[in-house]
Amino acid sequence: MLDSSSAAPLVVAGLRKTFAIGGGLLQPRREIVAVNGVSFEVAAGRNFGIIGESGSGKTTIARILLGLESATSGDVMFFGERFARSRRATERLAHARRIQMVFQDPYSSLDPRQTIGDGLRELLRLYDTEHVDHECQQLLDKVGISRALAAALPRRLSGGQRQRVAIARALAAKPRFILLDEAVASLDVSIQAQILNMLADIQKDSSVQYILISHNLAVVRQLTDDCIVMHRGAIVERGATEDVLANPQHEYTAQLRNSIPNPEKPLQ
Amino acid sequence: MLLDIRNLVVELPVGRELRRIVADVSLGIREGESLALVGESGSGKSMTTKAITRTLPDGAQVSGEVLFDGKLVGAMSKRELETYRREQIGLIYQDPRAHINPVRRIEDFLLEGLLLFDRRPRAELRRVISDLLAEVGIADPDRCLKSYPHQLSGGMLQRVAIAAALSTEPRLLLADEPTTALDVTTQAEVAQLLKQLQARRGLAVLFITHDLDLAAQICDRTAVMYAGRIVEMQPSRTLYASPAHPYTRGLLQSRPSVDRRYERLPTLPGSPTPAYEAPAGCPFAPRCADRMPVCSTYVPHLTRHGLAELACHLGAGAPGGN
Amino acid sequence: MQTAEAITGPGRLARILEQLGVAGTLALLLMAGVCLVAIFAPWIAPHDPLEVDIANAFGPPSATNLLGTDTLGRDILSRLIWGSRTALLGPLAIVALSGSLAAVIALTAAWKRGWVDMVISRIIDIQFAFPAILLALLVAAAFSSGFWPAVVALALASVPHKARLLRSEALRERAQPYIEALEVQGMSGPSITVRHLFPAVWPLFSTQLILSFGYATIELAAISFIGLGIQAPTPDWGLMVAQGQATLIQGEFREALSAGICIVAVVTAVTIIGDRLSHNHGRSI
Repeated sequence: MLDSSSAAPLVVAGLRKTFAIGGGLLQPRREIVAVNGVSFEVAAGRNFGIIGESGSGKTTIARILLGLESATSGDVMFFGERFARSRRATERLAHARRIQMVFQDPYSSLDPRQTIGDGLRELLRLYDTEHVDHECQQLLDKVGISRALAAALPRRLSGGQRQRVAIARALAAKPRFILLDEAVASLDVSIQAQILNMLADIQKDSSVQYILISHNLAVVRQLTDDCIVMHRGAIVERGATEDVLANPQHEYTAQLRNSIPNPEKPLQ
Repeated sequence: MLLDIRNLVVELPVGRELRRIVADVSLGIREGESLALVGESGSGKSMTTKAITRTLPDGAQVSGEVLFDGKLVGAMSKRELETYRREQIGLIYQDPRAHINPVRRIEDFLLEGLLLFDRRPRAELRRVISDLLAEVGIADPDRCLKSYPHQLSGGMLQRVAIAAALSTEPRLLLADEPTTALDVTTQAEVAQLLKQLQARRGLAVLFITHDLDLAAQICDRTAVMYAGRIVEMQPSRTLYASPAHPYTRGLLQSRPSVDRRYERLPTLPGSPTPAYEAPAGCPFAPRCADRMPVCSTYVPHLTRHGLAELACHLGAGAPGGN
Repeated sequence: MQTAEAITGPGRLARILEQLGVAGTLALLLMAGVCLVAIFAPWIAPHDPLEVDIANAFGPPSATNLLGTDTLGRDILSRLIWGSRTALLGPLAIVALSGSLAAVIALTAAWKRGWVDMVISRIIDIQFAFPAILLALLVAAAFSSGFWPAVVALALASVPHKARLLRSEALRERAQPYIEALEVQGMSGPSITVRHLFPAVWPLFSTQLILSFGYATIELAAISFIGLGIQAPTPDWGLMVAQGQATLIQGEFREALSAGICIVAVVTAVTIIGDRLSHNHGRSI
């Protein structure tokens, strides 16, 4: 039995995911490889970035980590314990305490019929929290949502406010990891900065680690310590974020870096 | 002046009240010139575009003037409007998939509009659009023409949309966040394409975006909008290097950088305000670190300081606040 | 930026009335009236609906019998008043029964998806092939005639239609990101289905239930008309149309006509209400 206190918080080994499409009478069954033998490790106390564009496999990896999909092969280990997707309620609840998620689209990640406060309290009761009302208030304070907004339906909130609520909901489970899937991509620039600061503040008094999935290199730089770059299902580069972005070794990483609009460098 | 907007005000009916979305916008674009309109949510940039094409939602109240080539857009007859929208202006949207019929081939999509008014034979028009596709950087135009939209990637589809916009030989290109929905690498390519096309064809371009860097890279001039007003308008290069308005400065400073990690990102307090929620005086005053008493009383108007236009009581060259 | 008043909005009743419009409000008032008549029938009805008086058969409208009497001398008005009870209870029972069954079936299929959904869908499709009346006939033939067998048969027959509609609506809602977010939060399937999925589809479903009340009224009347539902001498509008129909040829129209008008009025009112309320859907949230 592994001593889980010394095991890395998250180890992904040889992860592979294929989808089968077609396969009718006239069409041969084709296999699409979304994730092709990916391995990486998230070290304790460090935030991790997964950089990639559409089709890179980053979303599939996220879904596997969250238990929304099963891997075709490979291992995922949280704190030394092997994780396998399960439909059983107790297992799913246990996994919710390992990893939570903040979606990209703030406009469809909340039940439109439930007030913010009711939704958060429902979650807190799910996790057998004591003093539900008090905890609810604490969480909302932490993310900067006022009492008036807590009594409102999601449609009254702006995108930035909804993302704050989403973060509060993710924190309700007191998870070890929060997966941010392009979580600030849809936000206004000035709001994005506030949210990034808030995420950093949250880490100051909790041990939660972030896994950030993004194609925005500046955001990855601001929030993560280590990262991997994904292209067409495989990792093409990895290392400390600072090194990878300052000194890209792989051609694709360099291409990503050069795609950032730079007014200093005029286009032809 | 090809496009001349003077004191544009747009109000939209919501429930029983009238909400002001565009408070007072004046701008001008010359033939062959490119202007970026930068703003966050609620700044009114999309409504300004809709006012130019006169496609505002029902019940919208508009005042002020929009002149294209000296003619008042608001006074155009139905026929004049049709010609104006079809031949003078080319539109590119954020999501090409939402604007292209998914059950028709690309060829049909591109020819559809042309056939209505272009008298040339179909075979010739087909050659025209094939050349256009090559011009926008599609490697195999014939294959693309035979394809359906779902078979093309987002980047390719946006190039098709650009080709469609160019097919009627417009004089002004209106691009509303054309790269926002694309992958980063594709964004750069499409941005470069737009700049090339502009230079090659002498097009005037109005480029709507929330990305200040992109604006600076593509357009000659940049206008920054806040709460339905233009707060600053400068040549892009100088705006980027020395922003005059506290809002522009705040925006530029609050962006994360790929080159370094900040202990804490400098942020603007509060959130972007739409025009109908703006208080008396300067709409940015509540969030401005340098505000003065006069800012909460009188609205600053866009005034010229050399090459720049600025709407701020602090005046040009004001000391940096935060 | 947010004020309390901006957050809550106008009252729910006010909004419903606004949506119903003039026609809908009138229809609602009519239905409320019918309900009151049904509840207070024993006190409102001028005569005993079962009291036979052959000597007075086919009496014309008079001070004592406002609508006249039927073939057995019973007061038509009293029978109409008492008939409102089965007119409301029958379709209500049908809608409640079929609605509950349809909800369970459809939500299970929508949540589980995969092969569970496939099997359920095929069963629904097969059952669709049976017309409601035919099923009722079979049940009546197999068991007995009467109010409850007819209700059960009609309820079962209308399950497929409701289930199919509810299933597609539920599937659409289930694909929304917030449902998946709840799964990631560790909430169990049944919990999510009951607390989030069902409230989401309830507006559409409830409107459909209201509309099906009208259908149920007609079907129940039809079943009684052919003698398989409610049995004589119970006052029932459908039965009254049947009995009255036999004597139409003799020029005695009042029983059939008055009962027919009542049926049409109720069905129209309910359909108007259901239609007006259904205009809510498609409004973005």
